Amino acid sequence: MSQHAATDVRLHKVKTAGERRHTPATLVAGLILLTILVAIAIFAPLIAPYNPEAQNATALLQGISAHHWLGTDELGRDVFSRLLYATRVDLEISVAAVAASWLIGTSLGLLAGYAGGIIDAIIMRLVDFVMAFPFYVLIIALVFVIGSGFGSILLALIVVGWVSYARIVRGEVRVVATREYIAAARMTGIRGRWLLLRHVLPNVVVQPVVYAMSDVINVILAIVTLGFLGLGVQPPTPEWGLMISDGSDFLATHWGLATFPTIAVVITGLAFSLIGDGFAELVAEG
Amino acid sequence: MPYGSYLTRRLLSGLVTLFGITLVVFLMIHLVPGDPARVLLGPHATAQEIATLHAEWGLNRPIWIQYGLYVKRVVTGNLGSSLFYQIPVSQLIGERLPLTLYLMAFSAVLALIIALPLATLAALRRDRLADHIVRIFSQIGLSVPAVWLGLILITLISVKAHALPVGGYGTGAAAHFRSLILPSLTIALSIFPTLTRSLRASLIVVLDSDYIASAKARGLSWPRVVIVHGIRNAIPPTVTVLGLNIGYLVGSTVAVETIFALPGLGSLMIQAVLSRDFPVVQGVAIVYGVLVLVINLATDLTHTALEPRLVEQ
Repeated sequence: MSQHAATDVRLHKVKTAGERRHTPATLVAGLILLTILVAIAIFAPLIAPYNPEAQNATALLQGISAHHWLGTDELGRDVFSRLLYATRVDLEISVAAVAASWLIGTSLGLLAGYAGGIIDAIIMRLVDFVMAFPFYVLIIALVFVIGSGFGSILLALIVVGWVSYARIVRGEVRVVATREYIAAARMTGIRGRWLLLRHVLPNVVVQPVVYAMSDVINVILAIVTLGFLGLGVQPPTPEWGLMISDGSDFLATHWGLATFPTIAVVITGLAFSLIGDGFAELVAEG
Repeated sequence: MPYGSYLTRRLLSGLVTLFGITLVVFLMIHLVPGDPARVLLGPHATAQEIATLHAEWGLNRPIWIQYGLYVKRVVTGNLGSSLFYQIPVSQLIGERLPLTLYLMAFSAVLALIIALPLATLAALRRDRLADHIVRIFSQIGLSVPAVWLGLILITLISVKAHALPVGGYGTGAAAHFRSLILPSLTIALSIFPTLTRSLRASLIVVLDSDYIASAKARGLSWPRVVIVHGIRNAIPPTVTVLGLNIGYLVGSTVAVETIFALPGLGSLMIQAVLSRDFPVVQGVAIVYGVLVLVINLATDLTHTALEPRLVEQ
């Protein structure tokens, strides 16, 4: 997917700790926003005024009020409480999926780029095969095969997600391997695993981290789309995509039901974008 | 590298990808717990039917022989039969493929129409108000779920203003076209941010270059310089970005077709998943993979035919 979204900056040399850096405002803003979102996810049970799954037949489709800050849905559930819990569900799956993809993809990309030869060929063909399919098509096919629900979509997202990291990291390793300081390190007798860990890894890690920030957004959108289509997280669990789906029948009269979760997705996307841009800027300056 | 050997290499790598696509789809059946014949024929199959399929597909033989037989069937256009529709999968796909192709083409064109003026404005007014506004729009477009966007467009334009059909494909070319406007707009709005971003970046590089300065020095008017020299040179990299995103473009048709009740490949896939129609899911996955492969190949070959310099890279 959108690999180009990762801003094209490269770090060829790791700065020593003592050198001063100017922290970009975008990075600070993004981190603050993300901290708030993570706090909401963690403390949802403490903040939420209602049980997110509790139905109330006497309070269906209510508007915004002091009792229900964002109104209630067609089953009388408190939208604000559902939104808070959904933040927890969507952040959990997306961050776990991206972290695992990043870890697996970076390791295999490092291995492919460093080992070369047959190992490189096998790993990169695997990457090609996964990338041959449109992102959504492969995810949906996998979910079909392994079933829907929390664990399955996480697994499907990882199976499809690691390939971009592998490709980026392998490319970076190839670039770094030709640099003088690697040759210098080799000449001083540093070999094998130590060379890889100490000298190659720190220099190829920036691109995948920048990419991960745009990847999280795409992964969240995938979770939301799967939830909406009935293939992802299953009801009554509060999840943004499910909430949009529930609210879709009432868009003409109760626009908020589908729109509040959408706003939550956009704000989360903004947080990760700001962090990604800020991080890229930091590295470019550093 | 001579063009002939580039062509051969590119086609060979396409063949390897094709092998990968069929392999991944073939292996899917073995990920489902239980007897593949049972999965493929559905819960109502008789013992006789299951035995026939076992013999036909070589399900008792080693897996590479099963794969060989599978590829043989796929190459001859035999994708099995739909459990739900009771007709060949290839026929089902044939009926629905044109819609998905039109939808993709319209979406790509619309996305370019939206991205081009926005990127030009942003590049010319770099780091000024207009640039920031374009950036905010792109950021929102990047993270708004397409499903919500589609629903809002249906509500505002179809349900409230009655301007366009709520869903379905209608009959006749005019009705088809009207039915595709909102779905294409939905997809275009979710891919324009990436296009705008890359087009803006390439425009900035082009506008800073020496030949733009010399064009200005020759006394050419500024709009002429921007349009004739700037945009023309910035478009090839943007088409490449569009090509890179083709998988995403193709994938977004799945959800959008479902919302707009369009009888295309994507909605067929979702339907098949929900009704556990395995042969259809497999068939559609293969066709989607081949679609991406063909589009990528076509983009590459056109690109290199137009700019032979690229072959050397």
